[in-house]
Amino acid sequence: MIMYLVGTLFGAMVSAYILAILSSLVLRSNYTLSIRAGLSFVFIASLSQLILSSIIVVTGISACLYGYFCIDSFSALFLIVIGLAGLSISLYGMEYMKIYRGLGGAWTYSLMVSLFLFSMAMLCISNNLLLFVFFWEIMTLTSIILIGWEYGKEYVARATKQYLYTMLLLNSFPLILGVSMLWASYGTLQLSSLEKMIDTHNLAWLLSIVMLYIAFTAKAGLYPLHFWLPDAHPAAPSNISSLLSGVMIKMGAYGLFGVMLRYLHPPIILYYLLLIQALLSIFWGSIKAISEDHAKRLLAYSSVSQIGYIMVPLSLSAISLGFNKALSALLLAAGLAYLFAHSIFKTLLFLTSGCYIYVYGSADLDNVANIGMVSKTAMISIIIGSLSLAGLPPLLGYIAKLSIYASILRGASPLYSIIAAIVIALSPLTLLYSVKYMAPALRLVEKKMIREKIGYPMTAGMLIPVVSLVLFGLYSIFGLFTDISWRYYSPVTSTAPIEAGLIHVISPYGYYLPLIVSASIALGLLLGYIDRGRDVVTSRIWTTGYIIPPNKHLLRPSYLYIEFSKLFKPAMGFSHEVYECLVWRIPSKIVYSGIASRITRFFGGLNGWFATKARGLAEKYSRIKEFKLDELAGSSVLAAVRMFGNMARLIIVSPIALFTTALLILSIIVLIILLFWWV
Amino acid sequence: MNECLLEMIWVIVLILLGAFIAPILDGLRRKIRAKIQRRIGPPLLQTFYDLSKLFNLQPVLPFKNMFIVVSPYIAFATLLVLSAAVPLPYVPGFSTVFDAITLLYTLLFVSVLVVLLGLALPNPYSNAGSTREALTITVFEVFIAFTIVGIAYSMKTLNLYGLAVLYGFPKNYLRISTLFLSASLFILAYIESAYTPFDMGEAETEVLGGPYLEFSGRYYGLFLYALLLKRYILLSLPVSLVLVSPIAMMLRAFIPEPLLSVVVLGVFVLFLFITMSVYSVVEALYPRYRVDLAFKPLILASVIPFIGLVMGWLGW
Repeated sequence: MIMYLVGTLFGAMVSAYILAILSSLVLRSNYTLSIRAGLSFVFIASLSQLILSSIIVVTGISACLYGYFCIDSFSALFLIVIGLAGLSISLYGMEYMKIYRGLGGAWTYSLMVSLFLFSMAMLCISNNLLLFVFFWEIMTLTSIILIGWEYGKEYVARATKQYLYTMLLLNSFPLILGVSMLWASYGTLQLSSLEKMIDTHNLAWLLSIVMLYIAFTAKAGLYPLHFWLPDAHPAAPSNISSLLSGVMIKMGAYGLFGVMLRYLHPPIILYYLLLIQALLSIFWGSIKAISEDHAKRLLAYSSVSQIGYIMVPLSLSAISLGFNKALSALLLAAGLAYLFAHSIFKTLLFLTSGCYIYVYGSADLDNVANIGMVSKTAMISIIIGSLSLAGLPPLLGYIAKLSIYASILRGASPLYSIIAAIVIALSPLTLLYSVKYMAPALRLVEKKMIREKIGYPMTAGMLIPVVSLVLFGLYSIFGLFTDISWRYYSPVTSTAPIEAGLIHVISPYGYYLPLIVSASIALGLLLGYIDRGRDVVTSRIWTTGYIIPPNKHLLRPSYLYIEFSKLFKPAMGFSHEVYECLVWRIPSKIVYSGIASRITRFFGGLNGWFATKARGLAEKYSRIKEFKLDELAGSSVLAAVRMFGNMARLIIVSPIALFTTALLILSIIVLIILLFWWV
Repeated sequence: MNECLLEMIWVIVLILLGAFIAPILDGLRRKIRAKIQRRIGPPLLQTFYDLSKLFNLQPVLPFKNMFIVVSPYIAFATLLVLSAAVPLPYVPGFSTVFDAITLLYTLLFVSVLVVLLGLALPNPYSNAGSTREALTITVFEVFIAFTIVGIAYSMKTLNLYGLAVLYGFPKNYLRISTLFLSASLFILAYIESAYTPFDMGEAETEVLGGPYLEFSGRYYGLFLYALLLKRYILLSLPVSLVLVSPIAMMLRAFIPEPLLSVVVLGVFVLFLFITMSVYSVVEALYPRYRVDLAFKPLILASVIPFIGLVMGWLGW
């Protein structure tokens, strides 16, 4: 019975994604309609995906399709993450994309969003490495196009090129190389068979593990491979930034734990390296975020730091697997809980930064003021999202953070306690930048320049994560994550034993804890509502008797914590120089102006030739219309030919799409050559 | 008697105790400070009079904004409920549910609320005060982190009730690491309460009370009450763990269970007054740090809990 339901929901999900693609293509002449139709189907797909994965997580079953696609609790958790983000960004995008109307290309947008979400969902359930790589590359490709949406702007162009170059060199290339080495050594890419065949004395195995590790950590944006992230994530439209930061970087975590640790028996020393990288990420991301003045860049750096918070318990889980399985499951559950929480609040926060752009025309924190005047929902979203990011009770962010601390402290050894101390000591840095993000929006200053008012779709899109943050905070979902992690380590038992329960670490009745704090806050809200400031007299602000013109001499948000930023300025400057040289100046000389332009010219010529031929064919066929053969068949051929011609023309118009196609073809060629060479 | 009912009664008793004792502790502080400065000083109940006067005043605010109106109530209600979570051995309250991290983070939540209000108001002094407050929180977190981890390592729990009971056991109490951790608990309570050398955020003479500057009437009264409750909750941590817990451990042999809770509560109140007197003397003797000089001692102080943690590792 459940299997039928799962099958039906899976079918609904896939067909809704396909319908999203088709409807946006059909309605491509109308900008608004095309986006709305496409995103509506994305909404439906996300909804069915959410229901499907919730069923899998709650019941603990696993389902397989021809052995190539398998879904179990662990991958279902990732599907939930993707589904929740998909729900909110699709609603939000229906209104938000209005401001990109001038750029056109609505159907490309809908197509790319649905392909992006679809590929992420599929790679989480692929049981075959070739399929995994295929969907991984589609994910990368679509994200490149979405990041470069405003390609005309200089910083977007730069960010896109940098992302492209980084992903090619540090992600696609090592991934394909690693996977092809595995194929060459073992002759299969089916993960469940690879798991049994792996021998740990094989050099090819070791090399491929290292390659996969580089690919996954680069995608996750872990220090020192994070440099592309703070440029790339803010460059995209805000609802896409939500997907990139909220969901895509978690695919790195999926790769490291859903594929590598699970099937490929990696050496544990790699996970010590991951731990160090994660701690560095937390520190570096936080101090960079504190000194950032642009809302979206601040959030992007915060993603670098938060992925560190996710990876610390996950890597400790892999490390402690050898000697304490219950602790290992507990740490994994904490990491997954934080991953889940982060995906929700980071999606929300990027959506609110989109509100800044939508309302004030800029996401510069100095330009933002008193968003409560424009939309109460936006204000509440900013407060709830930022408080979750800062990890303050009783929201979901806090519960996830508490589970990290508690699970690390459970491993009673000096290593664990020093890591817990570092993580706890670094957590107020998160508080500093979340206050910096939130405070400008709450400033009670009149702001005259308002570009657009926030409508219902954007409000609804933001309300979904807000409600989930509050509800999941109230209803403790520790149990769910411990079940998932327990099933991950021992697939036989479906529910975790009590000693692996997270809640028992801290207190036997911890379930009531968020309830008590929320009840007291609710009491305060109620009292405040009854009060409502009925007898308040308003008067001008008190400036010790001096007459200061209103809104003068105020602290500008960019000057917040300037003493703190000064402290790390030399280190930041040095690292900026190093990265600027390594990532931008040298490669732009060699790659962008050398190799890439030649490839672009070659494929541009090819495409031009193809487009001319296609257009010529189309015109020829349209001229011989009165031939009166089978008119129905003729017209469909005509439509197909026209569509190819149009697509070819579009590829020429958008250089980045062209470049991507070129590089994708290049990587496929590399793959084929390598495979033949190894076999 | 029903255990749940008993717990609820204790929760109400603890909330009432907190609401009553927090202003009296402040009165004691002011009285002792006055004595050291050779003044007569206000009566012990002066803080109550102040509060009642504030609650009867008509409030004057720069804006009639829901965020400004609601925040004092949230701060007050949260801390009032939290005062039922003070860790007391053999006194069941919310401490059976709360853990040390949540307690400190809920206090942090209230501080963040105040910081946000200070940044939201278009007043240069509030803004400056809020920034100072935020930076102080950040810098002091190193100390808190080592203290929490040290206690968790030595006592094997973070549940407040469990800590209050376990701390006084001879095998836990008579250790060198516990000595350092106890010292850090006293320092933590002092610095987090923002007594004089560390009150950079409010700093009346420099930034005119910082975030609280624009508040008046019952809104300021609520914030003031919340601040007093916060100081009471923080003070209860070292008093209960370090002073009350071993005494309760000894008394357990002589006094039966229901009476024990009442006796423990009496001992707790007694030690609260004694510790508060010591704090007041320290406070009266030190002038406030300049904001840029305060961070160094805050960082350096974290050596103490770190030594406690290392001793814990060594098993001393």
